Amino acid sequence: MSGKPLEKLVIAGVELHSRLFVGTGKFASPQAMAQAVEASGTELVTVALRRVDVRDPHDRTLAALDLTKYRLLPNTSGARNADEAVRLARLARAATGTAWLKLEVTPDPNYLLPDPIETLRAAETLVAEGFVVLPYINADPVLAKRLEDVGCATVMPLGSPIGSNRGLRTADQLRIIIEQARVPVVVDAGIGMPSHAAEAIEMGADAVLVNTALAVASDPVAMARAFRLAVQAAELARQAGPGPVSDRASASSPLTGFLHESKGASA
Amino acid sequence: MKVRLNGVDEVLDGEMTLDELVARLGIEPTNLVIELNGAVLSREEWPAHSVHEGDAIEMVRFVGGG
Repeated sequence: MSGKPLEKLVIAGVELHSRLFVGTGKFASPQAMAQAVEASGTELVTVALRRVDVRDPHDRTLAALDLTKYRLLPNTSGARNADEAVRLARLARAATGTAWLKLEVTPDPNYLLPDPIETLRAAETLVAEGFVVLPYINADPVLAKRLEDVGCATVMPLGSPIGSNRGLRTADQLRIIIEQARVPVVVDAGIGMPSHAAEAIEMGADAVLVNTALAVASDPVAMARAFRLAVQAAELARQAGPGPVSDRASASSPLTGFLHESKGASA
Repeated sequence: MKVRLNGVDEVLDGEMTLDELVARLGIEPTNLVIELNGAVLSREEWPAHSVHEGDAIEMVRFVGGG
């Protein structure tokens, strides 16, 4: 639990009313994705940039989504170093018309862990080019400050590896990032259940980004609704002002009038 | 004329601009962006650029992703 008051979520001057960001990949069908995004109540959806298949040029993954209803956050997935990320970012800006960018540099295909050095290098270049950079990072408080210092709009530390659904394995580091950050903290990656999302917001995170947990659920729409409610519940808890945490018990019932009490002989 | 299109060698018949190439390939131009020899070109810029022998052309668009 965090005593951190809940402030408006503002990224690069834009207020977002939902603290749940949603990825649009890996869904079984375009319809399932569009319905889950709708049910989540999100205002911000991530997209990826890929080569067109010249032999079969029609992409259908986003066909069912009304792109005018959501702010797009294109990612640089597939980039293995800073140069590839910068190239993808420029293409993404031209394709989507937004300067917002989820910067991710993941050279290792097994764990998809982000490369901190290449991410920082790319961030410096992209901020200078006018991008609104939301970097995906390991839960490293020092790196988070360095990225903030070079002008990133948020930091997006992982809870556990992308798509693993393992929850906030980095909780202690996330707490330090949240404590020190002067930009919004978005917990990205590894959030597998609504309780994980609630835990992140209760901890003091400003938002969460979820994709796989929705996409691979048997009923993505119901799962999206569950995440929406969990995030709202955690926000409400933050507003309610959580009580202190203590190592010792503190009775909830009155400490007087027990049946075993005896005050000596009476007439 | 030989070009490298999305990492594959392709032979194109005759002169054409980028918007003509997109139309000839039957590609829906929505959400599409082209990189011509490393330079990013948005849709408005395609008619002003012709394809030449040896060009490296990348056609990308955004798709579902996390």
